[in-house]
Amino acid sequence: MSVVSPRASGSTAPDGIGRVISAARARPVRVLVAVAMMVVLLAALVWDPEWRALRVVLTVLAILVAPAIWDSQRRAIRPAVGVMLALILLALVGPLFTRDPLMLNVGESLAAPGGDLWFGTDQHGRDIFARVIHGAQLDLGVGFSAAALAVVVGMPLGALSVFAAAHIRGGGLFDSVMLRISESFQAFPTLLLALGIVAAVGPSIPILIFIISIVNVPVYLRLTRSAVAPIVNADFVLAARCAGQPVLRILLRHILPNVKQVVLAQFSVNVAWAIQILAALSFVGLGVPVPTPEWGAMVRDGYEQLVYGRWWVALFPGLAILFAVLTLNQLSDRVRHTT
Amino acid sequence: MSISAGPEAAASIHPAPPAPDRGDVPVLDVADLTVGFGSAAKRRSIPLQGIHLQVAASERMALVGESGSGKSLTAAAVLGLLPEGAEVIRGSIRLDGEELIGAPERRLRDLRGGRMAIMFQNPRASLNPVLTVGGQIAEVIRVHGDAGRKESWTQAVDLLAEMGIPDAGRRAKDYVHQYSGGMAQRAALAMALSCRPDLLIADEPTTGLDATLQQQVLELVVEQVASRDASLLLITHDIAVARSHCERTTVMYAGRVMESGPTSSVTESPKNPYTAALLKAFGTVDQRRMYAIGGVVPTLVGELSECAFADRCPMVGPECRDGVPALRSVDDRQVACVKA
Repeated sequence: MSVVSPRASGSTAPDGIGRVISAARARPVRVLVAVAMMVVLLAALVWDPEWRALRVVLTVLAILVAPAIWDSQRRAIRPAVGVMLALILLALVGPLFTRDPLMLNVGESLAAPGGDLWFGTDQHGRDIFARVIHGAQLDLGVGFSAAALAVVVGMPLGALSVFAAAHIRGGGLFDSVMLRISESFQAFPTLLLALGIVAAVGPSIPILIFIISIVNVPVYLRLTRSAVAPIVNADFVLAARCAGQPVLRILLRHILPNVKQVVLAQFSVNVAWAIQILAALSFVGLGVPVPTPEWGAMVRDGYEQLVYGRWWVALFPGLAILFAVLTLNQLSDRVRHTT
Repeated sequence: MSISAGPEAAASIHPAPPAPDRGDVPVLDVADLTVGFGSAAKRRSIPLQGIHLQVAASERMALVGESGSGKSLTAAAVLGLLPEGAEVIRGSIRLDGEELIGAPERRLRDLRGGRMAIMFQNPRASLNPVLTVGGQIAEVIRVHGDAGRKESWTQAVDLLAEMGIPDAGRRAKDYVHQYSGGMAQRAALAMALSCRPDLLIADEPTTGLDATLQQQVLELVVEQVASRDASLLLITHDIAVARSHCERTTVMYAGRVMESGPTSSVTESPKNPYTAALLKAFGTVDQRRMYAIGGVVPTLVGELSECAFADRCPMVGPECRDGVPALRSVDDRQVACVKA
């Protein structure tokens, strides 16, 4: 997703900041767009103090993802990145322009979509459109945070465990211990694990992020491990060792960049999965506390209404989940195919 | 595949070896190197059984042998990078007189790439696919010296140009998949020589290249090593390559050195029956049928108790079964055969 430029600077090209400036001079339109986006994001950050941390995550992500649109080498992922970016921007700025998602209005309860109420209202007369938009912030934010946390923990551990087994004395033991731990986590049903933790410490957003990431760490550990395993004894790794490079440097500079693409593809799918887990947890009542707008919780609120023909209560948040998950899966596919 | 260059031709391309009194301390001195897989209690195999090998300063030594004779494992042991599960049972490896066995990893790391370097059989695989070629060479230069980013980059580009890569400034920014096989091997050579090592180990450097390129790359290796006054240990299974590019040749079989001496005398008048058989198997144009050495290479489960070649040797006698023949000096060379 993010673009990493070739590390080596040319003998003619200047280093660091000089290079950024010369690149900016060459493409003024891109600089303007980038600055405008930064202003919008900054505004979204300071405007509404609620869930600021989640919006910081989304902002960082938007900044990381955006350059892929201009990457001429990865044309195939542009549409997916574009939709993803639009979704993130909607989640960030959208809430500023909707009604209050928490405002109760019993007189207007279960109103069908139409007029000002684009998506209608729920049992308590709350605007479903406002709740779907606000929910985007929470679902995407929690999804990305949980997946990112899982990558940050799982990827280095997975790479290190297989690398240690091959190149560091006594690393084999570390490798088996890591594998057994990840297996025991994976053997545990996700919802049961979540139920236990939530029952013990009570539901809150950080706890949800923690739970979802903890079930994803083994995924990255194993994925990175299996991606690193075939190259851990590759000739270029041996060549780097023969050239006298330190072991840790070989791991960071020579091995991890080779598995980046695989992990990125998995990351995108994983965000989608995290959103589904969050929705599922909320659906069974273990998710975010009421009345916070969250897609899964909204579907639960609405599914009882379906039998009475009030389809809109569950449909719109359901579509939102579907759309977000499809976009992320699409992005993952494209990333994988542009390797 | 092998081009059989006659020994006369070889002698005219490269001058005769310098007088032996020149090198006082050999660049590489391997003595009685024995390497085994598995722990002392559960020894699975002993693939190197007392290797003796000396490479003098600015000398080109060929290490010749069949697959599985232990050539590459010897190189790995010299670099201190034996595969997982292998250990040195006894023996010594000295680089410029400094003992490497038991040396701390930190010291070995400084020596690898700094004083000894290696290039591998498959150049494409030995360069990292996600780093630029120039960047990788510059990185090695930075690890071993105090050159900055820019300086190391310039040095890397100069090295590539020296190895005959056209438009090196631009090609240095390319990735290895954009290089041809021959260019990649030139880049690998540039990386190996980037820190002016005293000893270059070339492990089958031309096996992956086609015949015309083989000659070019080998000549480049020899030329560059000579211009840096370094020593070369050329590992090959092709005795013709040894004949045309190296002053001295060591023949290995089943983890033992069978014969070692000046290339011309080893290949013209072999004193060890194994060397003779190997030369015969490589054949010449006027030979009617291909010659194959009968029998199979012994499996080296324990330490040898007789000559490793005894079961396949045409000249075998009862004295051959009487202990492992030691490597002894005969005329201008060393031979491990009781009949020599």
